[in-house]
Amino acid sequence: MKTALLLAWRSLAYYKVRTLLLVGCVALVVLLPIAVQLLVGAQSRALQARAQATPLVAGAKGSRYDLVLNGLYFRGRTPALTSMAELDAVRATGFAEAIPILARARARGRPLVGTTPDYYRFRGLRAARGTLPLILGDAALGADVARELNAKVGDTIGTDQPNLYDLGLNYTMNLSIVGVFAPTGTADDNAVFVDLKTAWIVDGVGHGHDPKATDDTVLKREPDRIVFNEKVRKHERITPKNLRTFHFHAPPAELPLTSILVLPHEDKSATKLKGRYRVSKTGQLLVPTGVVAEILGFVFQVKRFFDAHVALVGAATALFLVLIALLTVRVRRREIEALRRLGASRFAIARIFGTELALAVSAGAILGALGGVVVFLLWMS
Amino acid sequence: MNGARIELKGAAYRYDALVRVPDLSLAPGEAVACIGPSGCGKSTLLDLAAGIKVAHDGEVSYDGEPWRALAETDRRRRRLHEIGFVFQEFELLDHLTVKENVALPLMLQPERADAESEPIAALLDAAGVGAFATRRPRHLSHGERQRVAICRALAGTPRLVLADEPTGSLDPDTARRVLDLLLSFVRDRGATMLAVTHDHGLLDRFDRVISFDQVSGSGAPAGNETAGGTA
Ligand SMILES: Nc1ncnc2c1ncn2[C@@H]1O[C@H](COP(=O)(O)OP(=O)(O)OP(=O)(O)O)[C@@H](O)[C@H]1O
Ligand SMILES: [Mg+2]
Repeated sequence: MKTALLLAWRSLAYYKVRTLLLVGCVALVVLLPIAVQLLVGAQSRALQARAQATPLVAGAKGSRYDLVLNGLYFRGRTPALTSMAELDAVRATGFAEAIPILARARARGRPLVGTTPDYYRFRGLRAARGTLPLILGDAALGADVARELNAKVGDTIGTDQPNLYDLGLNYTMNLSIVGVFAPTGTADDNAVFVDLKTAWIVDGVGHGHDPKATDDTVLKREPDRIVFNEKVRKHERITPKNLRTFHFHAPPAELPLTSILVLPHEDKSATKLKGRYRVSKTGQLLVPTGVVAEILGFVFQVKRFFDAHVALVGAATALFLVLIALLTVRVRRREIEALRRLGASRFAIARIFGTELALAVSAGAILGALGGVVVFLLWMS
Repeated sequence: MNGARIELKGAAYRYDALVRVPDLSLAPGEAVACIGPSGCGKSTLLDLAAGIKVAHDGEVSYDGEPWRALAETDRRRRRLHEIGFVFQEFELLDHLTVKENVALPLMLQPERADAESEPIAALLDAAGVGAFATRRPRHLSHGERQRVAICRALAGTPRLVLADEPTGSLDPDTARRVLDLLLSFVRDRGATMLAVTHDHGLLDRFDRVISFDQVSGSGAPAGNETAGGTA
């Protein structure tokens, strides 16, 4: 055995290109399935953990997935909008606490989440530096966002312009960073948090401008309103000085939300709330664990196809290895013949070549596995 | 350790045509040279003597036992344990060092795989290639490679040494020195040796010389072509 190992190792070390090709080929075949396995495992665990930590989520009738993804992870398509009226309705039942979320706009590519201090308390979000974003125009960053943007308290963060052709609807606002949250390992690390009012302004529901109406700035005067021309610049940054000029044009109850986290006071109240929503024409109340299990069901169904593909590629690779073993006998006939002439048995020769192949394949598999872990870690960070 | 007894009687091996080799009887401890023109069958003779090839005709015996009567495994084992062969083309492995190449016959025997490396170093020194112990055969001259091949044949302290033109690539001085090494090794241990050579100046060193010329027309019996094939 020692001899086989030595001869195999010497051959692998001497014929470097051949060895590298073999090891690399196996490594590449192994790398992706391992990375995917780790990623799917980690992501599904994270999704489930978040769902378990969120008893109920309410919103407008529409896609269940959009609502849960938005309310829990600030991801996916914006769900049908609900409103403050819905929030008030839940609170009015006295069955549950309700936390509003408006997660529609983005800042530097990250979801911009408007909510209230209740949210931070509920999620256990703690400002590692600075304070919570309680004032109009203030923002606090999730841990990952702060790290990736290398942003600190006192900097500003600009919101993204979602629609370049509709400048009137909403426009880039510069928010002051007043805090950075401690990392939680959840979707909160990758979001920018603002007060609900700030989110509405960013969303274009409210704005601020100089209230001066002069001949220079007025486009037309109607009995009940004045329309300004574009010379009236909307403020792009909320400062203590212009804070008062910001205002909303919609009645408070109609101000939009994307989702509402519902925290029932007890099991019975949850049941009662569900009963109410069952007959609601406009709203829906979801149990996130159920919806997430459904989503993961799809994911794992797709993963099964991937696994089957991996199995096929693995089988093809195994066949290739057999082919290589067969070709080896031809290509290295001289070496085999020398060993035969010296008196080596067929078994001894097969063991030498088998060891060589096994060493190369194991090295490839180990390298591929390590590579898979590295890809996984890079992806997660 | 006593040398092996080799006997060939009317032996012939069939490639495309039948190649006949001279009758031959080597007593234990005898050192015999074999001469003959190119292509006459000298290498074939050595292969037959070593049991690498089995005669299609006639009989080749090792210690009184016909190779033909032995199973392939036994022929192989005997070759590995008792015969040292200097191949005409050396058959060194490129990926092993000189020292490992020489130790290869020992490494292939599980019970001797952990043999001391000193005798091998001494052997390499005696052949004048001790300085190349850790080099690959590729990085040696032809003559140096030939001496490595000789060391490999002797490493297992064989009872029979078969050498196919062991001094073919060496200058006269080195040839003489290397042949002396071979012969002193064989004589010290009482081993038997059969060497093919074209070097007529060295023939006086051997106990006996057999020539292929004697075989031509000697008409070994034909017809008995039952067993045969390459080992
Ligand atoms: N594998 C083979 N296939 C067909 N014919 C072969 C084979 N090996 C040897 N022969 C033939 O057998 C005859 C004897 O070959 P052998 O190698 O024994 O000669 P030799 O005396 O060793 O020659 P040299 O002195 O050139 O080494 C030659 O005619 C050769 O052509
Ligand atoms: Mg020859």
